[in-house]
Amino acid sequence: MRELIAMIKRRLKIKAIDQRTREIVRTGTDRILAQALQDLGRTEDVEAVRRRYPEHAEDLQPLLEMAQLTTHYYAEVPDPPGGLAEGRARVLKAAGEYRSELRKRALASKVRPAWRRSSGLLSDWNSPLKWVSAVLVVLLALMPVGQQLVWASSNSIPGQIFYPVKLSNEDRHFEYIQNPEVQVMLALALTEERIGELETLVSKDRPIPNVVVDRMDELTQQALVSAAWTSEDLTPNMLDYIVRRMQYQAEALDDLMVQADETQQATLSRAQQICLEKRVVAVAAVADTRAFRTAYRTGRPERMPMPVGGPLGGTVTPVPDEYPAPTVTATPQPDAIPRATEEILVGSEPWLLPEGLIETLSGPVETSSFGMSSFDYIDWDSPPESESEEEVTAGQQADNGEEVAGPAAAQEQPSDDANQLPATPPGQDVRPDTPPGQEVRPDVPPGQEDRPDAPPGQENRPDEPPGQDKDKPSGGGKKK
Amino acid sequence: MTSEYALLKRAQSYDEQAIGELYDRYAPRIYGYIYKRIQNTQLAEDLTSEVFVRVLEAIRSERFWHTSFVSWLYRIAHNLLVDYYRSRPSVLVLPLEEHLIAGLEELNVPYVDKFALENLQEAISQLTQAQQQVIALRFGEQLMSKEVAEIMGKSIGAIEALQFRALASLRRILEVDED
Repeated sequence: MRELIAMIKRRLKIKAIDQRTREIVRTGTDRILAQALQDLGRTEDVEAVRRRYPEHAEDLQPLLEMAQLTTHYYAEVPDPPGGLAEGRARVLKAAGEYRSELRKRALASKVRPAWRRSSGLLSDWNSPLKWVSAVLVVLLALMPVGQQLVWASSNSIPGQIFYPVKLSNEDRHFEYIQNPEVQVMLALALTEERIGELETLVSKDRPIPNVVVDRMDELTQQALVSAAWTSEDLTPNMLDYIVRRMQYQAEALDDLMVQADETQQATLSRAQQICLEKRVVAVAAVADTRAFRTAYRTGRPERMPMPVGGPLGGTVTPVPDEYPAPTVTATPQPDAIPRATEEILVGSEPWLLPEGLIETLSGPVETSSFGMSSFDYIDWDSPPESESEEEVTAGQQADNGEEVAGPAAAQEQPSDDANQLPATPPGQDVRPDTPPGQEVRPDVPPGQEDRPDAPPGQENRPDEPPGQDKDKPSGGGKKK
Repeated sequence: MTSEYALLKRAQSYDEQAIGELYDRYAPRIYGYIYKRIQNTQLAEDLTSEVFVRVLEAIRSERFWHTSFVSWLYRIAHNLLVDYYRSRPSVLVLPLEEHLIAGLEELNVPYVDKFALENLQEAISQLTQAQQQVIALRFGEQLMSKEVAEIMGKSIGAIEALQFRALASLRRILEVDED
């Protein structure tokens, strides 16, 4: 019973206070309180302020005391335990990430090439650029046209006007070079050139044309076919070299994909897949070099010219037209190996590399793994390559329509896992330190995934501060 | 000292030095404000850095502050606190910090004692978010009504009324508790 009475008294008291509060608000006492609080802030003397407002003294005094108590309560703030240093580092790190992303966007938005933006310099005839331009014009006039094209195209990248000229120059190199080992080196060097072009395109945030990846496919296939035409004792080393280069290039593409956008990543992924596939083939070929040589020698991809007589010699007889069309595709089919004849064999004349060829080759050419420079003189006086007895027998049986036992190497393909690089899901490369759950929307604060553009509190009124009522003008903040 | 306008222009392009200087200027204030609201130093420090991270995100989305930068910071801090409270269904009232108790003896005000401050802490936690924000900005940050109005996006009259109700509510809660 006593508790019930006490509860009723409390409720009545609260009701009285609330009623009084409502009356005070109706009469504008809240404005007087605000003024009184300003006075209190200056004098810090409740009694003095109360005397200034005698008619409201009774209502103001408890509120002023409460305000003073609250001010004291808020007065002391302990120092942050970490001195705010950790937070500062976190903020600066985030700023760095946003800054790099801003630069990428700025590069992508540039439409006009640099030479057009700097055209103002050329119009200024007092600029040093005038003299540089004049020298270039004289040099170009003295050079033969073809050489000018070669010079102009050597540094071109996909999408530029001279890029097809660059590719045709590379094809011409293959026509001149008859040595299969050099061809392997050249093909792999040109795939490195494609990697360089991809890096340039990614850094400039330009789309990657399919011609680059297609070219990589052709070059890597060329490397394999050329490796099949090297001498039998050199083939394993060439294949091993191909394996290592393909692995290296796949890893380089993997690193490049981190910097690329989604569109570029798809193309880079295809290029990487090509490298990995060729690596698989090369690894399998190392396991059974003989089958590889036979299959690839008789496969003959369309773009691969047979080692015919070069400009400086060679008495290799080209393959006759009546030779049966190869049934093998890019992946050699060990069970369909036509008989290799003497027509395919390399001639006995020594092969000399044309002078100056080394300088015209694009990209670096590494020394082969067995310590022999790619450009050493190769003495072909040694007996030409001859097939093993097994190969000859198998070929004769095929001609006779007999079943041919497949090569002993039922090639144990290495598992895909061994050749796959760790997959990086798209979109998770740029912000590796993004907390879990935020990888997909790194720019959206937690809890605001639906309103990425709204600062906190402004989800419903993105153009207005929170709580802003259009009908009631704001208090008028300081505009800066 | 670099003018704020110049700093902000550089900060829009994520200039590291400008960002750092803005942080050094305003982080202590924001930390103090957040601490006054939640009375937890570690959490206040974490939320302070989160405020500036949100600033970077908002700059990136090109929705910059509309009035003053510091008002915008307070607003973001308040919203962060709202999110914090929402994530915790029950508000934990921490014991009164020792520094407040130690300072009581120096304060020659008869009605201020340890129990009053402890009750006040609990009483403030029972106010609405808007009332807590008003008294924290007015009496904690010592801002004028005009500045508080800008931060909260309300009129000065609304702020004064809110302030009055907040103090009246505190008085009511404390007086009822005394009974």
